[in-house]
Amino acid sequence: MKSIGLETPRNGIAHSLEEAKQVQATLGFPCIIRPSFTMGGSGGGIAYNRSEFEEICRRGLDLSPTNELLIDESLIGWKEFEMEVVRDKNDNCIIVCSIENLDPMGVHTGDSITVAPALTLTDKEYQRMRNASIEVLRAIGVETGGSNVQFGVSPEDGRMVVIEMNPRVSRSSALASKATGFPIARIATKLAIGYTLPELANEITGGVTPASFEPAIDYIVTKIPRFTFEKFPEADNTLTTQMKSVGEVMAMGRTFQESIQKALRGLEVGINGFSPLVDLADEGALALIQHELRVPGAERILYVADAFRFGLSLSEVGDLSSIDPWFLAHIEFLIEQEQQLSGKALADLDFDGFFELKRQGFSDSRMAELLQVVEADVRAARLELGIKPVYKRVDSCAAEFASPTAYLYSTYETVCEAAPTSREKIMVLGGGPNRIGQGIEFDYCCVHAALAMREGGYETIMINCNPETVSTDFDTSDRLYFEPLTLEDVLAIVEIEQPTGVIIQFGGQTPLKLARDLEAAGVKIIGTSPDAIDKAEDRERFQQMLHQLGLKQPANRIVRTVEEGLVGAAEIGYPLVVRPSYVLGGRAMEIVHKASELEYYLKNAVVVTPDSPVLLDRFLDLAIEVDVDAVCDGEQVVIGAIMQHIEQAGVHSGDSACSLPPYSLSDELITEIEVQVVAMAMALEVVGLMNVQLAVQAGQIFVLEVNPRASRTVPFVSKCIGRSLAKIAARCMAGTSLKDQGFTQQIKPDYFHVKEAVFPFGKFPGVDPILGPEMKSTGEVMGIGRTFGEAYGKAQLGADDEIPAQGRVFLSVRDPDKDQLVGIAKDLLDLGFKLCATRGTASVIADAGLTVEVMNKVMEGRPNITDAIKNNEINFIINTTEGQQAIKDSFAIRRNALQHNVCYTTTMAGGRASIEALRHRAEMQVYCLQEMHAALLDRPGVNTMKLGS
Amino acid sequence: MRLTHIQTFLEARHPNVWDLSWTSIDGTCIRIAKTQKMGHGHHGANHPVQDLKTGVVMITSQNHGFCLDESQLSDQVEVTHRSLFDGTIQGVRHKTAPAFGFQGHPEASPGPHDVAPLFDQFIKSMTKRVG
Repeated sequence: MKSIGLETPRNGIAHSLEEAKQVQATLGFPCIIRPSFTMGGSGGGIAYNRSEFEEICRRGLDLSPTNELLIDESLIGWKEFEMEVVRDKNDNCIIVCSIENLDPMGVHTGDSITVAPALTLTDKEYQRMRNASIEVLRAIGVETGGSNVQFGVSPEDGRMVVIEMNPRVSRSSALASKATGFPIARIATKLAIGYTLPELANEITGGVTPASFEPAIDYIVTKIPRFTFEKFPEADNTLTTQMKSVGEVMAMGRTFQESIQKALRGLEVGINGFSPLVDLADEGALALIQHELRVPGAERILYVADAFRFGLSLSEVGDLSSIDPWFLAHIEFLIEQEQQLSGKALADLDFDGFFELKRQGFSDSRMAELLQVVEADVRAARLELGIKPVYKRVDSCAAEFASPTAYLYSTYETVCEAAPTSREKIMVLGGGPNRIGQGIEFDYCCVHAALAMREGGYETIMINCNPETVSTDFDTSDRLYFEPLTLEDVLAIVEIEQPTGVIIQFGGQTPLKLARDLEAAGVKIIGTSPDAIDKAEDRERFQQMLHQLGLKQPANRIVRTVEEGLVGAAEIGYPLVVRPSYVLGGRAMEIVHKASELEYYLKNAVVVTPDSPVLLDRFLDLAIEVDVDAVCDGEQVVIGAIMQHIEQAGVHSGDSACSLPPYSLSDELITEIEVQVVAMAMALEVVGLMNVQLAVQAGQIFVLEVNPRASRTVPFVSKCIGRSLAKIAARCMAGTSLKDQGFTQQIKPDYFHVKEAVFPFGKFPGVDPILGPEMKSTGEVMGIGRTFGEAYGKAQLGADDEIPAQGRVFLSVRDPDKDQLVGIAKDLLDLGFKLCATRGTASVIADAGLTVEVMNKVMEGRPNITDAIKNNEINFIINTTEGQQAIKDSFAIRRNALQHNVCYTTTMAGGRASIEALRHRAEMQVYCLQEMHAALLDRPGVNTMKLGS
Repeated sequence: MRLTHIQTFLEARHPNVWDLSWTSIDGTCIRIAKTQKMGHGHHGANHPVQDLKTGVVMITSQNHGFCLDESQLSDQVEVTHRSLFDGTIQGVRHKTAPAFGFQGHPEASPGPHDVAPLFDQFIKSMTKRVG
């Protein structure tokens, strides 16, 4: 960087704690530590003092595959920018997009609110940055492709430093592509194979202009990250240089005000704009606000709004947060608008006043709160005044050229560019921002639904606000509305497009939540009716249905008060699974073992009220959990697949590994499961997809849950059976029967397929990596094998959790697991492992005449198990536990195992599966998915439609 | 600089840079070409202009509503640059005199600095003339 005249933050590289200390001495505190070659800045942090410094360095050295740390001078509070640059082999360089972080330096850019284009630079500053970013690409030697260059700018004196450059497409390039309509990855790929920018067409203008230009945007894009700290209560929720968000929402508006307010309501975290968080009358309010502005957390932007409500001045908020005054001024203005509005009555608003508020991005529902009326009243008053959004096109050229591409966003102006057609249309509602429990699996389903409908001759319309998805590519559907998935925004699009049918069952809970209101507004929802969806989700109606069908359910109660809960629990017995109704991803779901735990849960974890009841289910200990995906056209049900979970019931289905086909269920059981699933699908009058979760305990089948919608496992099943369930289901919804589609019987693959969950525990120091009823995984992998063992082993390998072939196994298991213990111990010894165990566990093993060493628990003095883990003396850990105290006591084992990359499992089933994998270790082979699918379709009785369709 | 001066400079072989948007208004004077009115002109700071000799694309600032009429181009000049948006002439060079013209805003304020080398080229030809 020096050779091209650019400054970088003062920094140093260290390969040991000693070296790190020497570097730190030259930089002072605070300083920023980043381990080399970890994704998302994993393991990094900001140190303000020596002890923090040492802790972060130790963790970073462990996590970095090259044991290397980059230690930088702190630029906390500086303005942060990113330039998305594309270069071709002839040295033609273009800036696709500039991005400005609203959150100043110190917060990972993935965790920052960002806007595009950069908004607070003068042209001179911007051009300097543009020149610098191109020089960086040349100096680094990026011959072709997209890169991202990050800059810090001092708000004091304008000093500009290069922070980082990524010579590859990144999270930001995905965002930049959606923000501008310029598909960076696609263009970069073509450049890599030898094309130059002027040779490539800008697709969004229909090719009338070349790719060698810089997109001009006549709107403002805001991205807000979505966090899931509620899933990891022990995690430190301060935002640092280590990325912690799990998803993001993007919104477009003609002003920054409109853009950020749309993004806030698109987040789906229960806010509809700058909703207040702080009770301003509380005596600690000011201190809380000051703290939240100074120490960035997930909701800082809302505290900024509260600071203005409290009466802090712009400069006070600026001093505390270091956010640029330009952004703060807009937020301050919006809060003033809110305060004026809250003194008014709805009838006081005339056309001009109402229109102005809509231009500023206020949602109907936020206005309703401020005016103390219901949202429907605001909508009615708005429509009465004739105020409706218009739609503008994202065309990469600010309307300089006419664009045939219908990539649209709403705003409040006069000219509408939507130009809807009169074709038959199907609209698909997407899943909104990724979060734990609702991720890309649902986007897969939405995309496949859109593809199937396009193949079926319909015009397809997608609504979504997640820039990380394929559904928001402008060519996935015929028309894309990049809009928040709220009732107001969806209804406005329905009104302008008048679709023949709307599909809501593929986007997860996000569109399902709108089902009733959309139907009430006269929107034609195709597929399973909202009433049937309600029947499956409403416990009482569902129970009635199961009763009529003669199916079993774990004993359960719906309780509306603490007392009712304790009485109900005593009737059905402990342990219990407890959860609030209407949730996805097992939010706030827990297993309680005794009355005191239940009481605590009902009073503290969730607040039980008559309006928000809590469900108690008898927990089926040691039961096998089974997931079934099926598709139904109203006449016939075809099972997509039956999947057997590896982990026992009680571990959330999204966190459990599962095997397709089942690896230990009898044929009779499988047949019985099929019969039950078909009966339920018919009773619910499902048209489209249905997912059923069952538990098998002592040969008995219990129905845990039925969801008449796309499930997390639909993409996995589709990959295993070679047919896209989502496409098939979408066609059913549009009226094509399963028979006409040639999909009339279950496809049972010859190979085993194991899906394994991937967890973010490494990113959250202090979090217990134990599995439970609340979902915590953020991704998944799949392994295929001739045997279950081979498939499971490959899945573990894919999840970066390789099972060791030899060494020392540490065992510590809870009492109910002790009867399975000897079998596992013997198998491990046969495989050549040495065993060590805690006292209780060891005595069971020793009593069976097997060799085992006793290892101290953490509480039993030194050296103990955590010392052994730290000294690399343990290669594999099987640690099962139950009850709050025991879980607490064994926390250090799991956390240390995670930190030192020791393979561990927290279930006996996981231990057995690992042994299976080791037995079949030698068989591991690579299989061709296409060949496997072709073989499946060649079977007699299976209609050979196009592969993958 | 008046058009008559340009002619004098040309005759004297003085280095010359023209802004095509105004030299072309009275193109007959120096006989580059006649001008024609464009559909909606070139306006913006993101216009790709290609150097025909090197193939390099520069992102430029533009703000004009007329361009040179290709069919009327003088044989004294050759085309050096073209717009990649519509193929119109963006730069010409005098075949014998050290003079060239550019149809945009090379000073680029506001705008990207990709065209800056044109100033170097002009300074070089002045130095050569003096030296």
